[in-house]
Amino acid sequence: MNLGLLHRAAREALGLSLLCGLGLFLFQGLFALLTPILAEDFSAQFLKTRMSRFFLSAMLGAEIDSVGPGLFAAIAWAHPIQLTLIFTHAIASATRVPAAEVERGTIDLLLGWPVSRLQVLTAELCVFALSSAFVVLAALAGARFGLWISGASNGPPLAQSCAVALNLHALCLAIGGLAWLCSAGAERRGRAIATPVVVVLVSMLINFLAPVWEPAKALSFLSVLHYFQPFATFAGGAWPFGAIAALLGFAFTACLFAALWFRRRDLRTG
Amino acid sequence: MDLVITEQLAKRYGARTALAGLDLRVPEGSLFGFLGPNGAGKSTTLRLLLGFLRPSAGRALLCGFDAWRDGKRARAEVGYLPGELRLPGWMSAASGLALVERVRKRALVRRGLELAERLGLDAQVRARQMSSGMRQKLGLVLALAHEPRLLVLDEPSSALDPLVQLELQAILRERSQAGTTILFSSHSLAEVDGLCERVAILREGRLVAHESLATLRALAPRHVVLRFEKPRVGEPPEFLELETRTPTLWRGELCGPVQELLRWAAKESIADLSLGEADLESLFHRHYRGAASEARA
Repeated sequence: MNLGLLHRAAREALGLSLLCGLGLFLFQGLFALLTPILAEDFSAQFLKTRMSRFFLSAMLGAEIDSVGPGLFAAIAWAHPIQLTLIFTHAIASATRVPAAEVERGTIDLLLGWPVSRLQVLTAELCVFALSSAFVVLAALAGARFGLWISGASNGPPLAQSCAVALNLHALCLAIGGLAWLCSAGAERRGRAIATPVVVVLVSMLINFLAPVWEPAKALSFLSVLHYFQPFATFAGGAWPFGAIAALLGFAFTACLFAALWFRRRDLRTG
Repeated sequence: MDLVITEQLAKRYGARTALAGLDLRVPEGSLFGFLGPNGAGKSTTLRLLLGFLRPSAGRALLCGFDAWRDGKRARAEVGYLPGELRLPGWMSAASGLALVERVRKRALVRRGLELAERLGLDAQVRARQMSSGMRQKLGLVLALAHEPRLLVLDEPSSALDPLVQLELQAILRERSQAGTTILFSSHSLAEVDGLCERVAILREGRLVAHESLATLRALAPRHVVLRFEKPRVGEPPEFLELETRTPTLWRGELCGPVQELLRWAAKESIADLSLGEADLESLFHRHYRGAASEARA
């Protein structure tokens, strides 16, 4: 491992990670803070209509028929704002090397040093794994901080929150791995970003339709969001090891192919 | 030992050939000019040497290591300045040198800061606040700070003002005297004239000249004025290309060794003969123009 490359990758990742981490901390904190206020009317009003139940089910990827303390936490963890921040961090970080570096021409300076492409990618992967863990931990810290400030006693247990955070980190790595694979052969960052964004949108669509449309349900295993279901974790209390393993397996495979591709490709700038 | 060796090195992009079977050797300790017009294949050659591109055929060796297969070891003793240098916006000379020190695992910050001072570069200014000339200076500092065995510079004086260009030439001469091998790419002969000992000229991906500058000078055209004592009729010799001609005055270019002209002149009744400096630029342009005339033919 080359410490200089790690330092450089960390320097590049710092701004985006701090921004996304702060955004997630504030979002989760505010959501946890407002939960006791919203919860009073929620069960009475919201679950009475089929439409409301449908939207909740679509968002959380599970049938919702009762309201418990885990429901609000699950909404916060699967909320579009939360996922947008997480995916933005993952896709932007993972398309930096090589696609963005090739596009802006800085790859020449980087690979003019006595380092292998594999070393560059390893440093980037390490920093990405750590920075995405930081971003997820910021979300977790925000949720616990909001819960503490609100004084609510019926929040989800820390262990369940940790399980969901771990699941989210695995999801982040999987999306990052896919973005890396697209970036490995790209010369324009926009092209590298397009594919994972489409995959995420299609996953969201499948997840949205699966509870009400049988064909979508049959395809749901292909959706990356199928492997992130915070409501089930908060409701059942079990750690989603299977989903985490599937996401990590996908991330590993994508990164492996990205490394092979990046090692063999031509690097043309300008 | 040759620090740069290319053997039948070729690079093709689909049907387009960027480099066609280049054989080049740069001996250790030499100051080597690598010339060619834009699009001749200079940058492609350098990118192949640095291991950025995979050869379509042949191979490139840098400091004895295969540039593609063993690029990391090949670049260990190399300082490289890319042609169109781009730097991360946050990088200053101080932070850049600290970073390169960590990457290369070699103390170089002090030397780099001395070099920055010599080039008139503020070590604390970040790249995003620099002019293109300052960024070029920073690129040079990063390439030179570790005192490499081989320096590969792709058009290093572009964006530098004339005073800094002179300082850079002085630095390169010092480095060359200390034993550093320098491969200096440029599209202008004036840039390498007076600095390099040998040059290679590339045109449309092919090597059209690979000579010492002394040999090129001998081949370079010189402006000639011949005044005859009495009107001279008949054709001029092959090595004289006349531009204007009267019975007693010929003006033109000498396209061959001076000795040939002197031998011929000794037999003629010449009242006056003036011979200009060897015009390397003109020879260089002739190599360039060759491409266009061949294409027309």
